[in-house]
Amino acid sequence: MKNLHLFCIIFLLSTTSFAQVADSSFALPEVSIVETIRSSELENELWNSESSKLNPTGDLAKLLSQKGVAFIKSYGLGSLATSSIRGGNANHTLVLWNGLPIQSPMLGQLDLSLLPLNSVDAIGFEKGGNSALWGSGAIGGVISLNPSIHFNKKLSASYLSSKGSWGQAQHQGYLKVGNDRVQSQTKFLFKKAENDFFYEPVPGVEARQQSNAALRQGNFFQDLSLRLKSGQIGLHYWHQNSYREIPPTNVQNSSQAYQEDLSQRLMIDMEVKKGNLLIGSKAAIFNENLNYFDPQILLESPSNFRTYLGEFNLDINGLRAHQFMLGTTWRSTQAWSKGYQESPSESRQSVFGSWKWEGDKLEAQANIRQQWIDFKPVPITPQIQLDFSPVPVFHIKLKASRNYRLPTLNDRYWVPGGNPDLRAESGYSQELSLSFNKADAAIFSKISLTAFNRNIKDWILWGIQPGENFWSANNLAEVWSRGLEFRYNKKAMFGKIQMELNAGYDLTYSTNQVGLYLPRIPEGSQLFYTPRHQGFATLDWNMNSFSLGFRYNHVGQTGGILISEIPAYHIGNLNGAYEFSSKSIEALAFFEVNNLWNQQYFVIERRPMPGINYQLGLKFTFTKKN
Amino acid sequence: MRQSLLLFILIFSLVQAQNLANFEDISLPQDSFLNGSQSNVNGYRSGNFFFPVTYDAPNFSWSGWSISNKTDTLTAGFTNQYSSITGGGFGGSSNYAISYGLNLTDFSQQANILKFEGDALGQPVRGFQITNSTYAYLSMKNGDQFAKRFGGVDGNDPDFFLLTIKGYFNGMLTADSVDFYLADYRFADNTQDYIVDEWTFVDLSSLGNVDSLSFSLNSSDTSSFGFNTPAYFCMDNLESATPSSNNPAFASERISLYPNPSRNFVMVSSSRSNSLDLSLWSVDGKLLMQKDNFLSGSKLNISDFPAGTYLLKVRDGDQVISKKINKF
Repeated sequence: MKNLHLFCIIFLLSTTSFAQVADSSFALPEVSIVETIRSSELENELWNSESSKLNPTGDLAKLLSQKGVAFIKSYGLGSLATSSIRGGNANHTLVLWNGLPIQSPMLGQLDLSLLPLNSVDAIGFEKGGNSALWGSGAIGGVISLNPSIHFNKKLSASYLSSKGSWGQAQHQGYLKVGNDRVQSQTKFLFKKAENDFFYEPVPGVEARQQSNAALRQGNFFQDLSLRLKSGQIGLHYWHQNSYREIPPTNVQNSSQAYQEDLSQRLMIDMEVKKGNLLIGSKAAIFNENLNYFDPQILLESPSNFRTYLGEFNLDINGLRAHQFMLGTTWRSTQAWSKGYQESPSESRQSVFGSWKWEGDKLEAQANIRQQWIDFKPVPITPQIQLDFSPVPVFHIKLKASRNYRLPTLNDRYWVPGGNPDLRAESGYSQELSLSFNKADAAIFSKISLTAFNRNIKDWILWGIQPGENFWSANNLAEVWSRGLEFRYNKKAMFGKIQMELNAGYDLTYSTNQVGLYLPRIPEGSQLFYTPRHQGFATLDWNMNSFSLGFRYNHVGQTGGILISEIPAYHIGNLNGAYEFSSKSIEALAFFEVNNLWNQQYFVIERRPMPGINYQLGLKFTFTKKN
Repeated sequence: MRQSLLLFILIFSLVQAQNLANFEDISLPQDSFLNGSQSNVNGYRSGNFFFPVTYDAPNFSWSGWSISNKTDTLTAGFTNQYSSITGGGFGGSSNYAISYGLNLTDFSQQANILKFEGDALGQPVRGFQITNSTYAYLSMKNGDQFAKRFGGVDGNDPDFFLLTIKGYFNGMLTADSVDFYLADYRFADNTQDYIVDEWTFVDLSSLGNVDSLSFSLNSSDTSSFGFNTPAYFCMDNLESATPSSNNPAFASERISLYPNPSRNFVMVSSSRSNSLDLSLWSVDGKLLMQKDNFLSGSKLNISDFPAGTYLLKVRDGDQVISKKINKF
């Protein structure tokens, strides 16, 4: 209750000061919210709901993999999926919903397979260290899930239904209604699957059928936005309920385990522009349950956490070429689990600031953050970056930063093995990016090469220590990650035909710099489940109402904790869509063929992945302009 | 005379009991266990043997030896870590010991030990009865989320779960060690693969005179974090040698048959001799097979005989021991 009071006070303090700017006049001027320093850092758009016809039923894990943003560590179709960006681990990718982190404070990570693309309107990302701007966990990259509100007098409704292999089915829809002052957006999504695919355990061994892999997931979203005279206020709610069975490994006879994830996320945000000032504030409550059951071993492991978050930003623009930003965040969490002796709580506070200068050919930016965890300071976190364009078609970007990740509640308090004295993982990263682009009336092309380097000390690992007979968390490792990222993009128009090619290759070395006895990790060895080589290519083709897309992914050999070599694999997917409309109704028919050449592969050893599979669907959208 | 005989029997029984750890002298409520969590407990005594246990109260974790009479042979997983796969102690007894210790293959040996005391101190050790815990047995048989089903994907992986026992006397390692496979899937013929699911005698007489024993486990199912097979086994009836070791009752225990019942083969082992003379008899007295100079620890092929009960006579030195074989 104390947390709730604090939550209300922070939000009200940050909003009431500007409430008087709201005007009840109906003749509202068009508001142009200036891009903030932080939002401009996430402007690389991965996906948006309006332009993406080819992937309307996907999830974030699949999107990140296909777009070459991250290596996705998947435990199987519909199972846990986490990301590794630039050789980091799952805790090193920060995922934001409307600008606030939604990682579990107990685990420090987020299951990306639980995030349907339908949950948001746009997804942005920024690779590399960004802790100065975004805080703990922004080491490998930041993924941003954002709603997109358009104040217009339209009523639109949509319904999508799809069917696929192994009992996959999805139903989703939305209702958007409003005017130039108020907008409401209601969405739902329900999906299910049996996922009882056949797989070949090893070459030459008779195919087996996966079992205990069913999935049921429901989502409900509600966005309410009110436009003010010089800003807007929004209310966002996301309810998710998921039931997933945990399939057996390929060397396990059967499994009866299952997991329930229940989350409720409520957020209020406000943006007000007054002169050169842009004031933003957010307050949120996240309440989540993760319940794991395994009747075979009589295991019941329910857990819950409740987090209160508050954030306040002040951006100052228009001082010639300078922009400034100051901000503060506050977060309080309490968690419950059988694995904790008591119900641990944790508070985190931070202040941060930023300066940006934009010249004709040069942009410079400096960011800094100070964070406290339970009122103990974390080392101060600076970041600088330069963007130089000697000629309009050529860009050089330099970035250097200190980054960190705070230990999770499980790292600190789990019994046995939690370690309250853990230090934050921290280190420095640098990157240099060169890009060249060329555009004319019909063709746009861009080519870029990025080199990065990162050292992280006090890397937290769970393992058995000499003299102990249980796993415990310790600041054991030091990891050096470095690599090259090549990207090529070409868009062309040939009459009515539009084509876009995206291709990329990542070379990633992410090595343990300290040889460890327990767990057994030799000095200089590549991190587990971290491919050195990754490549992707996507080709999208569009003519009139037809769209066709081909996605190819190559993941090089990785090492696992059970076997030293998990073989490389190549996956190809084909997507197609046909759009047709009649007056106010638009219809979209789409299909998807995944794993075209029926590759038998593993991302994690002993966890088989599915072969070729299909999906067909229809989407209807009704729009009425008032 | 009668009083002297009674006194002799009493003393003989007492000495024998003191050199036998059958854990029935430890008081346990029904379907329960002792794992060192009681205050000021650093181990348990049975007969002239001491079984150390370490309990880490803040982490609810133990290692060493627990004493149990739990009988659950069906529930998999660590929630059933205190049960034997036989559902009780040796010979239908109630209590038995469970050893648990993370023995980290190749890169750390954290062996469990037990100590000899009193009359057993420095005596030759005879051996003990062993079987798998329910947790380890079901993990090897069925696999779990962490450990593999033995045999692997196609049943051909040469998996094993091995216990190595070493003896010490005055802090010095004795010359020999004894290996016992709690599971062995290394046979070319997969029908011979087995996981121990009965109480089986482990002969330790080759260790000689000892005052302590160490037990370390090793498994073929390993990861960078150690081995995945649950590091448990169950013990009962640990004996140190006494002058009564030539007693026919003990002689019978020198010969072990495994597996029994069996379909195709039985491994015949003697704790005393390398070479045995065997004869297999039907229950109606017909000689079915005879093998002289049979190597102890080798397999006796019984696949040609119909299902039923047979009598195996084993000449071990100057003694002939008869044991039943059940074929299915």
